[in-house]
Amino acid sequence: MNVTHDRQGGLLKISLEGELDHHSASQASQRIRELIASELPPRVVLDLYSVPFMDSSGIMVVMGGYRAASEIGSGFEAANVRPQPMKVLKAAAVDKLIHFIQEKDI
Amino acid sequence: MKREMNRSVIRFPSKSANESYARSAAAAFAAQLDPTLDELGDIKTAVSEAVTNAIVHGYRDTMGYITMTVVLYEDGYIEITVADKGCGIADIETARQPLFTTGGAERSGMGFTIMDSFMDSLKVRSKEGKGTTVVMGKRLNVRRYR
Repeated sequence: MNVTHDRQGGLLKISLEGELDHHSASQASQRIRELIASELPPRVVLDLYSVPFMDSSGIMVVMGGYRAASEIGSGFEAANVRPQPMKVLKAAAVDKLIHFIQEKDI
Repeated sequence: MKREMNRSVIRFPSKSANESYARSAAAAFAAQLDPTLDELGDIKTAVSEAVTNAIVHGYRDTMGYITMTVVLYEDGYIEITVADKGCGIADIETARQPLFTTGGAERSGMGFTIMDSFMDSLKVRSKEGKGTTVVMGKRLNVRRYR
């Protein structure tokens, strides 16, 4: 799991690359929390364009990012979610809590 | 009675790196039934959940072997069995409830719920101290049989 980030003004974009499962999730979660804590951005976008697969471990990665952002009063959105990860996130009703956006809205 | 078309049995240690191996192997084998991308995604997700449960819960404090059996039937039915010889589940009904987990803050408790909703059938057999076997089935919309 590769985690990269890009800071532009008030926006911190964190991009994940690879499959999100129990094996890769804790490292990704920790990196996302570190980035949010050190950058303290007003707005966080988690870009999942390069995550072709996630299982329920991915739910906690996305929710962990949302919580870390909420704790410092930041906005949090998930971007470019692929169909299979979207189905998993919706099974846990994550779409009721987190706003999903597309590339053009970032 | 549906006729068996092919069968694969693999056995691997409960290392988390094998989660991706198991779901990829199941998907590669299921490809013989010519499934859609959505169906393959469902199978990979369910296998990932079952194998992760065996690793995180079944073999919580130890290492052990997990056996995955994939059976393909001529009518497009796929049956996947994931078995461990780990600690077992004390109360299966409770374990199957959404959001229930004994895995701590990093686990969502959605594993069985996802297996249930992404597959057509889910059976769980478990005995404390003996292990857990999960049997999942799904009818694929096999194009060549349409």
